[in-house]
Amino acid sequence: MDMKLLSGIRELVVRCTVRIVAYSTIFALVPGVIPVPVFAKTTTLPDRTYNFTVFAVQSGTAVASCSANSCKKSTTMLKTGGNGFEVFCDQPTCTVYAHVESDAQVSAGDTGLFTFVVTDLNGQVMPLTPGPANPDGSVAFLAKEPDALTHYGASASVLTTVPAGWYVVTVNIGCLDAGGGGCSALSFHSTLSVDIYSN
Amino acid sequence: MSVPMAKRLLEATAFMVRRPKSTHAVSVVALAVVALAPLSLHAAGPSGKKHHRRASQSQTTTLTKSCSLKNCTITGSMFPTLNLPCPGTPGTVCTYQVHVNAQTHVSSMDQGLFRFTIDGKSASSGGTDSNGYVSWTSGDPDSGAIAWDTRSYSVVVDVSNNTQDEIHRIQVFVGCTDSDSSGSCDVSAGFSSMTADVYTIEII
Repeated sequence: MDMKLLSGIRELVVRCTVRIVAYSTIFALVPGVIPVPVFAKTTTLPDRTYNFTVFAVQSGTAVASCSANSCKKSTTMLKTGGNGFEVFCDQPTCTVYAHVESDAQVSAGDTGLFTFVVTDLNGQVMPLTPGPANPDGSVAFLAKEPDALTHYGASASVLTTVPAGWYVVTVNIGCLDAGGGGCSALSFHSTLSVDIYSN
Repeated sequence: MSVPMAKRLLEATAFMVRRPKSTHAVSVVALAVVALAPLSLHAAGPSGKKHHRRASQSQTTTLTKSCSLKNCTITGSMFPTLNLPCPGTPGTVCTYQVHVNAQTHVSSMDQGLFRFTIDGKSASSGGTDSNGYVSWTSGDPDSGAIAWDTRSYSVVVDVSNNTQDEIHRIQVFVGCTDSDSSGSCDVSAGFSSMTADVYTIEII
């Protein structure tokens, strides 16, 4: 066979194959036959300079409870600030890393929540970006565990960026009724560390 | 709703950055200064806890402890004693933050515990009970069937030097209590790590 003809046929086959693969992929992706790759939403905060740390220790019992169906209730578990203790950012912007450790527990079948709240001295709540946390600052430490009320060691962390100023970091413990009839959550001991970094 | 509506006894104790007691007026002025020249406040800020030193340990050997007596409690040391100095003269106060993270297992319905001691004394001011214990699970009917469950906790304790640059001894234990009065409990710690961070008070 003529080599030129053979080369032309080969090129045609390759082109057709490429187009078939490309079009079939596009048409499969559009109706969802092939799932579009989903990547975790990761936020990286590089090169912060450590400034200092603020601690808070809970030495009493914090209890939150409510009795209505689908109710939600929280109470303060840990707090920096008050009595003159504050988180302070002396740079144009700072990164705040808050980490809580607790022996928290929640009623059976319900959701236990830690809620991080960062407020300035005017009481304005700062957004937690990037968190991770729900829009209200909450993070579930246990959800819908069917067994009876038990102690659970639990921890959570959030990151956020704040402008220069004084801040108070509060961690609330709370519950969300998922099983009906109300819920309760409590903590006997917990510690909070808040690291402040310059951006 | 098995938790009674007990009176809340929250005594959250904040360590660290102390805002001057003269206070809101000072802070308003400080904020104004911050807004105008944020960088210039660096030397005029409050005193705070500055990270000074960290020591870490890891453990790859499984530790198992058990006791066979009604309502018994038993503990075992998870790591060799960690010796960490607090820099400064006698009377200097350092803040020690001790963090443990471990694969744990405890018998069903019993209580799994960590215990923290510094210089042989319970770290009771740092977020534990009066004997240095904190519970990581209790009364879970499934705990005996769960091979490993990763748990963590941190304590924060102020320690005072009796001598120059005194070395303080830090120990972390894992333990269990026969909280269902069945006559025994057993506890294990698998892969485990701990960090001990020393913070000193410095002007920010």
